[in-house]
Amino acid sequence: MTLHEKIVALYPSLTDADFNIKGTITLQNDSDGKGDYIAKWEHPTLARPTEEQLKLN
Amino acid sequence: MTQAFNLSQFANNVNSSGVAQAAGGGTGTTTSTGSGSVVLGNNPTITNPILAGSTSGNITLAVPSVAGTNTATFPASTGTVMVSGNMPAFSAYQNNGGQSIASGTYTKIIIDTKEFDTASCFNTSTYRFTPLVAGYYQLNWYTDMGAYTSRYTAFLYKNGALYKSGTSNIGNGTNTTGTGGSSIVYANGSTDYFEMYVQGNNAATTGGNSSSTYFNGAMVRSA
Repeated sequence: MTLHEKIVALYPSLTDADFNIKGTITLQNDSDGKGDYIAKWEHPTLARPTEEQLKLN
Repeated sequence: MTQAFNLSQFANNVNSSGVAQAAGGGTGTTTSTGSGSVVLGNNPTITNPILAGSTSGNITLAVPSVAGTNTATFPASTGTVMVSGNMPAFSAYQNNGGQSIASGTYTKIIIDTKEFDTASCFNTSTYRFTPLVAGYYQLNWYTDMGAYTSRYTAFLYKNGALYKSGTSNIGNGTNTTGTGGSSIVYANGSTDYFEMYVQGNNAATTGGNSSSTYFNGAMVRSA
């Protein structure tokens, strides 16, 4: 399960627009072997998921 | 005052080291206030020349007239003369058979193989272009995303942050779709670097070969 899939599972109200260039959430992978990460989380109502929440999903 | 002579006229003023002596036998400056020409023989060797400009500040180098007049003129502005040796150009591509891109995730494109890199400015381990000559560069980036029914956009990143967007394309699920872009950017010639990222609404796999996923560019003018 990818980071994107975990976050959408946690917050089903999120849409593609939330992750696009004008969205409030940026997920990134720098192809350096460290995997996907949250580069920006500026959603006005949803809290940034904790590491614990992401592990559970 | 008009001076017109050829190299043979220097013969009596050449010392034992072969260095032409200035008038009077010293090594100082020979000055002429005239408006005429100093004519040297064919292909003279002039060591460490300093060409002083006219009162307009221009220095004009005239080549022999061939089918007309051929003149190279330096403008009255400060700058560096650019030649192929200090104008970096590179072309590199993905050669890993395809890269998995997770949905919704800005993913740096792996560009692991060079076609050419004239100034060793592209790193195939970090996939970065870091030009070491300050100036303006035309950069081009593109990647195939396969036959998907999703929106994909390829981006140019500068110093780790999104800088320029490419086209956003939506596949029809049957034919391969791709996304890319082109832009003229400034680089400071030391720390500025550029990378290519892609992001889409669904997971996809890039086309991992020289014609499908590539990043290239060249300097178009100096700083």
